[in-house]
Amino acid sequence: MEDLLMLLIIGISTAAMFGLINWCERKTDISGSEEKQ
Amino acid sequence: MFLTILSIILTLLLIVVLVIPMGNYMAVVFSENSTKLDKVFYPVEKWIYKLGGIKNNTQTWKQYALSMLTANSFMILLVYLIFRFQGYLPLNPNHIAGMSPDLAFNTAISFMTNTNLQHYSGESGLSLLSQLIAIIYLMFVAPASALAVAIAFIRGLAGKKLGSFFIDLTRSITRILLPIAFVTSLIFIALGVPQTIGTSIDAQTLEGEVQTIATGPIGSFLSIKELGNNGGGYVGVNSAHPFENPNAISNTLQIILMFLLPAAIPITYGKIVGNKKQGKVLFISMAMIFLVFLSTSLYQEYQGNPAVTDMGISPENGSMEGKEVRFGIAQSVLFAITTTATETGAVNTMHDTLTPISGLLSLSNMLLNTVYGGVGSGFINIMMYVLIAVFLSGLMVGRTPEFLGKKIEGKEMKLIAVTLLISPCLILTGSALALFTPLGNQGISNPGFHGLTQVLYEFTSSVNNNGSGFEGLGDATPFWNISTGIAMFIGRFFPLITMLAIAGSLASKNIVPETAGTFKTDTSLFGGLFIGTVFIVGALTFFPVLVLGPIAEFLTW
Repeated sequence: MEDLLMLLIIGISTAAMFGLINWCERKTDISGSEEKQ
Repeated sequence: MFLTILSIILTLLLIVVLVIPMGNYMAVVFSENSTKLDKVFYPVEKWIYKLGGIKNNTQTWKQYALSMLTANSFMILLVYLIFRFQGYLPLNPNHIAGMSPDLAFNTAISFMTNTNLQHYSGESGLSLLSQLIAIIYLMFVAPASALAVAIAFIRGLAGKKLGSFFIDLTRSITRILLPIAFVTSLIFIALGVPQTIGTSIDAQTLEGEVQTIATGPIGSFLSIKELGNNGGGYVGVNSAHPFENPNAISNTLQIILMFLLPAAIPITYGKIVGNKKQGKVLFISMAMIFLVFLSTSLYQEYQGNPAVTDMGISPENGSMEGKEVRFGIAQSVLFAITTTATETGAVNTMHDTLTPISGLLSLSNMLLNTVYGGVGSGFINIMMYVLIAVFLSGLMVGRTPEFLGKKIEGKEMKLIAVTLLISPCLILTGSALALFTPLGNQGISNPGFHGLTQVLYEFTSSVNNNGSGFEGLGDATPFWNISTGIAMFIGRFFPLITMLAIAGSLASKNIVPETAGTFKTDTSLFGGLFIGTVFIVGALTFFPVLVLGPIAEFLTW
């Protein structure tokens, strides 16, 4: 049970960072193709 | 006294002499074009690329960030499982049981984020397999990950393609960390540091008791511990233990290793962006902050402890409480200021016993995270303050801020603002939570101003990935394991991601030609502006809590 809780915290923290990546993408308005150019 | 000061000056001069070629070497390592180094390292690297299915495709900032985050999170999971099941796994001669879930959680995140905060004692808490496979493995991968991100950020500033995370990660390990760690491990072993996979030794003491003496592959552990700014000790007392720091030469070598990569990155930066002078300005600015902190701390420690003086003991030897007699005040203070400035976290003296102002300066080093900082992550933080300084100077002269010919606009500043706020949010909220809940404040061993500093130090060390402990705090509890684990995770990955986004944004911009009105960022004036920004924006954020902690302790001493 405790293991599940710890793994859940790791999962939520990682998901939050994925969310941050998407938020930064919207804020900078930089799509991948634009950056490559 | 003269010899002591001379030894410090010579150590610092040696560091300066070494970091310049190191910085130039790193610029070659991360060059986009083929170099002579490929002949030496590529035969090994091509197998790693083949096994990992890595292709030499440049990534967008988003792909780079996703690669870094996914790889790091996967390794946290893997190492968590090793810590939990170490009792059932091989290479466990001392029959050490698996870690508790919250301690395994804290330790896995701690080593993956380059923090190395240890809520366990290495010699009794980890099996040989955990030390070799999990801990030493992460000690290479964690600094390499941040170094890769810093290099991608520099490329973005220079208007170049960001590169591939996996290739930068591999090169960081094969071309920088492994060769240097291998050579320095041999030097440490020659100096008397043990290197064995045997069991602990049971020795009979003079009183007739049996004492268990922990040994292990400490030589190979020690080199990457300092070189990668990891700082986690093989044994509980870290570099205060004679096996982990046998003499003055090993002490000096550890200080040099702590500095080598973080101090070399500004040189690498100058070379990659084509403005060596700017790299030098940043290097010198940080050196000035370091020297002021070091000299003030030395002065304070040599003044002694008034409480000890009141007992009739002469203060002429300074404050020796918590320090190794083998190293004395000078080498202990130099180590303490270096380990906090470079966010390493190794200790050869107990920071809890530093005089209040010395404790304040060690704490400030970590809070600012700009006095070189840890490998990669420190440089990222420095560049955040550089961009703030550029923005403020642009506002003062009424021009659109420009840096390396790129306009700094609102979208970049929004990301910088949230990056700037995340560290104080985590540190101050975490400290407040610990102070106001019994689960947190029952660990404080010295209530009052010093107790507040113990809590503040623990969260500062976690968020800024230092990992040293102020000690005195009873932190091996589920509350501290979970709260600092979350703080380390967010404190590490948040700034790396946002600064990569800024690099991606800047990389896509056209270069504006320099004119007579362009504010130059490679002058001593800009160096002064950078230092001022660090202190006004950074230090003032934490000033109120510092007044309640070490400053109040100093005033009531």
